[in-house]
Formats: sequence, structure tokens, C-alpha cells
Amino acid sequence: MKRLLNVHEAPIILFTILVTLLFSILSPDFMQVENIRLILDQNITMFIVAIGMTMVILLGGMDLSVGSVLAVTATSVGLFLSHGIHPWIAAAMGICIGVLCGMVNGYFIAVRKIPDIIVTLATMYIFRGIAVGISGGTWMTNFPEGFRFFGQGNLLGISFPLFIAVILIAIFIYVMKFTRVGRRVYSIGGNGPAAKLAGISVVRTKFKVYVLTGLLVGIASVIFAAKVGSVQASTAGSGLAFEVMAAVLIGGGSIFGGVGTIAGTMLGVLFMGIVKNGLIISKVSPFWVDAATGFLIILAIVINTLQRIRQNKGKEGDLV
Amino acid sequence: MRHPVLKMEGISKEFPGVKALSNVSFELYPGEVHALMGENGAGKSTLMKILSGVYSPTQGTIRLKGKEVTFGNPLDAQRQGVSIIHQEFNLFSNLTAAENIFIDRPEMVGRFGRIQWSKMYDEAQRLVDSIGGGEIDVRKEVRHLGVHSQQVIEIAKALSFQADVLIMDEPSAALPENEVKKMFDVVNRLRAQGVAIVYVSHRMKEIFEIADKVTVLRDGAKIDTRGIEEVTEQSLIQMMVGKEVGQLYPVREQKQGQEAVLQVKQLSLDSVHHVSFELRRGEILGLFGVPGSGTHTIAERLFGLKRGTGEITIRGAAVKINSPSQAKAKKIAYVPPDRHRQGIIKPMSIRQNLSIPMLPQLSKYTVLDEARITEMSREYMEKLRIKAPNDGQSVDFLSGGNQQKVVIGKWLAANPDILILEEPTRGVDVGAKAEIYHIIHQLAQEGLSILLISSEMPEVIGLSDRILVLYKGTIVHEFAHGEADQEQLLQRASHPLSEGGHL
Repeated sequence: MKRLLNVHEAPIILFTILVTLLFSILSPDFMQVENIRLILDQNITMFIVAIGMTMVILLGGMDLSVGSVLAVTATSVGLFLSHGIHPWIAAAMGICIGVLCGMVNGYFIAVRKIPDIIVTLATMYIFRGIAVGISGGTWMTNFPEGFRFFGQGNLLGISFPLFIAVILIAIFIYVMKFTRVGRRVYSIGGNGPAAKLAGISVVRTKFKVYVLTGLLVGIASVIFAAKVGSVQASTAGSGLAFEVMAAVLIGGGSIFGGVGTIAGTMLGVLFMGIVKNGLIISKVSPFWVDAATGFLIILAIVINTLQRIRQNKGKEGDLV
Repeated sequence: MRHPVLKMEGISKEFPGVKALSNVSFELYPGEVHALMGENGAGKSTLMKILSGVYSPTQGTIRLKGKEVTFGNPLDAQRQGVSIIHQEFNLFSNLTAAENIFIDRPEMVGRFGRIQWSKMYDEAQRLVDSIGGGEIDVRKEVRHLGVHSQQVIEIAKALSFQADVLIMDEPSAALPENEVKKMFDVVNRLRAQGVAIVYVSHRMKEIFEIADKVTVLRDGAKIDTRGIEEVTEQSLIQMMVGKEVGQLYPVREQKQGQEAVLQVKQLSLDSVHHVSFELRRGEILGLFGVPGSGTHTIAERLFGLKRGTGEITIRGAAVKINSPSQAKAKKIAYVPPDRHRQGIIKPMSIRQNLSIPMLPQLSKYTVLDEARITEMSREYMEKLRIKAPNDGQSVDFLSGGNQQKVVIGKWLAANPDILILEEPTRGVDVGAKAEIYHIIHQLAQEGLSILLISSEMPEVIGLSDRILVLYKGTIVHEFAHGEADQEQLLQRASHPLSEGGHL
């Protein structure tokens, strides 16, 4: 039991179990297979984007632009499709645009060393602006049948988006835990100067992480467009950056970098999804979802901090 | 008979496991400049922290103008008349000089909480003028002022509390040579005004120029207080270092070869000028100098953190080292002076920390080879005697000594030819110190070439085969093995122009 409590994800696991129990009691509809599938399905975009955001936050950074990247990518895909480009090629091109956006962020943050919050605040407006501009202010809709597969198709008995998400999550959990890249990200976030002295290229690693985040957002946006069936450039993915950052923090990530896991974040996304769904299904007004989410962020962070303090007890030296 | 403005009696201070000060008494008279000297770790800063309200003493009393006082915190001490000016200034560079002097002071606030700007400027200018800083415009933001002016602002701030006692910690360290004179003028004015000044400094020359009295501390105890005319440079150094270097150090066998592994020719950058030396195989080469002498800069240059002119040769071949990864590729390793900021990665475990510089070698197609990492971390935990239940322990939980061993270990794992150690035992307890010394010794025996940079003289003397002394960015002396003692070393490092032979 004690060992279980020391698992990094322990608080979020307990938390998730707790709300699940709570909502199962409040509403008999909650614990239905259909509903659980719905929760997963509704949050696919979040899951995928949150992988990237976890890496960014582990580096000690943040990315406010993911929502706008999603908008510009999804809008472009819509445009490509409307010009009759094959769905697979349109998707691939869209993903490339996501990567390109990541390169822009990465260049200014890693190479030019401009603070991430400034760069991504700027690109948040720029990418959104481009999305609105190229869309001409109209909805992208009427996607061809072949494209819908990305959002609504089935593969091996589960939905295609979920399939992709699971694969991506598995890959990145592996990358972060078992490869050099992961270790570099953790060491840069844990102590930048020490990582640099150890001969790690901070610039290259940071750049890579932003590019990977762009790639992930690109994939997410194809799924998003195909699933929703229509894209409005001015609203698609608005608020996404904050929601995803919240999930990372709820999942045990530290805003100062170096601490957190992909698995924790995924649980964080799931947790937020459950809360949203549960509040609606148990007939609490949906208008209270935001307030509840905010409250839960604070609660989660207090609990994470308490866990850290508890672990730090019995250690010599100062805490402050 | 004058009365002392300050009388500290029987001051002792204990930290868990360490007695930093034992039974120290210290008296200060109005209008005197009293130098406080001692080696690193002698207790100077602890005593000054007690006097300025940062620490409270375990035992002993402080009397100010005859009244017994206790200071709850630095502000409390300031209000009662004791101010300290730290080596690093504590100024808000974005605010004006006047605001800095009177920051958050109720006497500058008028009705309805309105700040009385004109009163503040006038008062500030008056204070600054009184110590000869008439050329400073107190309406200017501090970031536009030079270092000397900033120091004047610090002093004015202290005086604004009606300071009876002013502690100056290494006041000349931040100043360029030509501004030291100006600082002395300020100190002389203060002395004339009857302020008692504690002048903490390593620099002999300055002490003889400015101080009236000198008190020497060693190992947490007071050695003596004397008038400046009663002492000489030699007698002061003798008081500071005491005698023997203990059995902390392993006996060096002169085993190193003659083959030069690293050669540095005419290295110049920042404040370092035309430094040349060579490091031989299996040698421990000590590099000693007072803070600011350039030892740290040389280490940074050799590890590719800074660029400069001059030639670096490894085993006869000229090399370019412009980044830590290039240095690593040339088999140079660097244990930096600040373990917390530059050494350990706190959220990570021992094994993760140990494997960081070796990631490319410990992985295949970017996937980490956990079995080899386990093997490696076991080996180095054993070799360096890192005390922890297992290698998955977070380094944050280790003692200073064990953390330092992790930092050394991660570089040994990279299998270097040249190891640069900077302050390898800073903040480490005596037991771990001895262990680290034995490890360093062992490594040299195995053929590793070590460049040892340290501000602890006994360490440099006890470990090094040769010692190079730096003064203001230039090598001023070389001691062969067994030739140096602390007195000579300190003299060479602090005042190279006088001859060392007549001790």
C-alpha cells in the first residue's frame, strides 16, 4: 500500500476512482459501456494534444498556441478536401502543416531563445489569424465519405481515432521512459544548466519537442475535423491549450518542469472528461462544468504538493 | 575611556552536526574600521550573520551601546542600528536610487498613503552627498548607475537607518581597481562621522590601508584582535592558517608520467590573460587564486562554456572546444562548483543522474539499455561509496557528500582522460571530504589527469602535485610538490608583488 502511494500517478488514480464512484452513485447511466466509450471518444483530441503538452511542460515550457495550430491545420485540410484532393493526401498535408507550426514555435523558443510564453502567445494569434484568413470566414464542411473514416471509422473493433490515440500514447510513454530523448527532456526540465554541462544539446532537444507537439496537434486536428464533420476557423480548438495544460497539471506535472508523466497526463484528461460527462449525466447544470474544472485543478495541485511534501519529510536540508 | 558601541560576548553557534562558532567575543568602537579575517569556513560569515540578524546565536549575548539586544531578523537589526552591505548588492535595478534607499519606509508615506516624493528625493540626496556621492542623481534608476555608485546607494540605505554599525562584506570584490580608492574615501568619511565599520575581506593590501584593528577567526574560534600596527602580513596569515594540514589527505606517490595530456598556450578571455600551462598524465594540478582571479573562467573555457583566444592541445593535437559536448568528445569532464545549480538533477534518481553524460553510449538506436545502466550505476555507486538504499533513490534525498559523489560519478562513468574539479568538497562534511580526497587520489593513480580548482587552501596543498597560483588572470607562481604551505600560497595569491622568501 505504501509503495502504491509513492507511485507518481497515485493521487490522480485515486481521484479518478473517487469521481467514478461518485457519478456511478449519482446516475445509473454513468457506468454504461456506451457512456464510457463516449467519454473516450469525445476527448480523443485532448488525449493526443496532451501528449505533446506534457513534453513541453516537462521541459519547463508551455505552449499556448496548440488550439490555433489545430484550427489552422483543420481548416487547411478542409480546403484541400474542397479542392478535391484525396483524403489521405489531404490528411498528410495537414499533419505537415502542424509540423511546420511546431517548427516556427521551436525556432523562436529554442534557437532564438525568446520566452515560450511570448512566442506561443504571438503564434496563438498568428495561426488563428491565418486559419480565419484562408477560410474566408466560412465553415468548412461537406467532407467526402473517405475522409470521415479518420473520425468515425472502426478498426479492430474500436473506433479508428481511439486506435490512433492508443498507439500514440504507447509510443510516447515508451519514448519518454526508455529512450535518450525522454531522458534529455527530463534532465533539461529538472536542471537546465546541469543538463547543458552534461553535454546535452538543450537547443536541439527543445526544438524537437515543439516539432513533435506540432506533429501531434496535426494528427489530432485531422481526427477532429473528420469527427465533427465541419470546421469553423475562428472557434475550432479555442480554449484547448488551457484545458490541456490543466490536464497535465492535474496528472501530476510540475509547471516548473522536470516532473510529470504521459500516463499521469492521460489520466488527467480522462479525469476531466469524466467530470464533464458526469456533471451533465447526473443532471447538474452544464453551466457549472467550468467552475468545477477550475476547482478540481486547485484541488489536484494541492494534493500533488502534499504528496511531494510528505515524500520530502525525513530528508535532510531545507525545503525552502 | 571610550565605550564600545558593540560588544558580542561568548557567541557560539551550532548547526546540526557542526559547531560553526565557539565562544567568540568581539568588540567594536565608534569611528573604527575593524577588519575581520579568516579562511573560508573560519566562521566569519556566520558571525556576521548573527550580528546582522540572519541567525540567532546558540549562546552568548550582543550588547549595542551598552544595552543587551536580540535581533529577530535583518530588518530588526537594521532598525536597531546594525546594517550589512553584502558582496552582491541587493538593489532594485528598475527603481530610482532614492526609492532604493527608502524602500517601503513608513516615514516617507504621507496622508492617504501618498508617497512623499520630494521629501524622499531630498533626504536621499542629502544622505548620498554626506558620503561623498554628490555626483549621483538619486532620481536616476539604479540600472543606469555604475558599480561604485550602486555601492554608495547601498551604504546610504544602511545609513538611512541611523546605522551605528556597518558591516561591509568584501566591499572591493565587485569594484574595478580604480574605484576602490573612491570606496575608501567613503569609508573614511563614515569613520569620521563615528560609524563603526566591520570590514570583511581577503585582501591584505586593503586591510593595511584602511583598517584600524583586525580580528582573526579560525575554525570557529577567535584567534586574536590586534591593532593594525601590531601585525604584519606574515603574522596575519600565520594566525589565519594555524599549522598542520591534517590526515585528511592521502599520501601522494609521485607516479605521474612526463607526457603532457593537456597543453594550454596563451589562453586569454574575460579577465584571464595569456595563461599557459600543461597537465601531465596522472597528475593532480592545483589551480589556486582568490575569487575573481580567473580560475573559474579557465575551467569554463576548457569545458567549452566560454570562448577565447589561445591554443588548447590534447596529446599534441590542437583541438577546438566550443561547447560542453565537444569537450566531452575530447574526453574532458567537469565537476562544476555549484552542485545544486549545475550538478545534480534533483527530480531524477541516482542511476538517471549517473547516466546523463553517457546516454549515447548507454543506448542503442536511442533506446536506453537499462541492463547496462544498472551495471554502470552499481559500479560507480560502489566505487564512490555512494550511500543509498538503491540506485533508484532520488538524489534530492541524499546528503551533500553523496550528491557530490553522484556528480563526480557521472563524469567518471564517461571515462574521461582529463577531469576538471572545481570546489569538489564545497558544502560537504568532513567524513565525506576525506572519502572524496581518497577517490581523487585513486583516480590520479589510475592515470587520470586532474585539474583541481579550489578556494580551500589545505585541499589544494594536500592533494596537488604542482600548484599554479593565479592573480588577476595571470599565473604568478608555480609551486612544485611539497613546496607550498598555506602562508606562501595565500601570499602569492593575494599580494604577488612582495617577495615570499623572507618568512
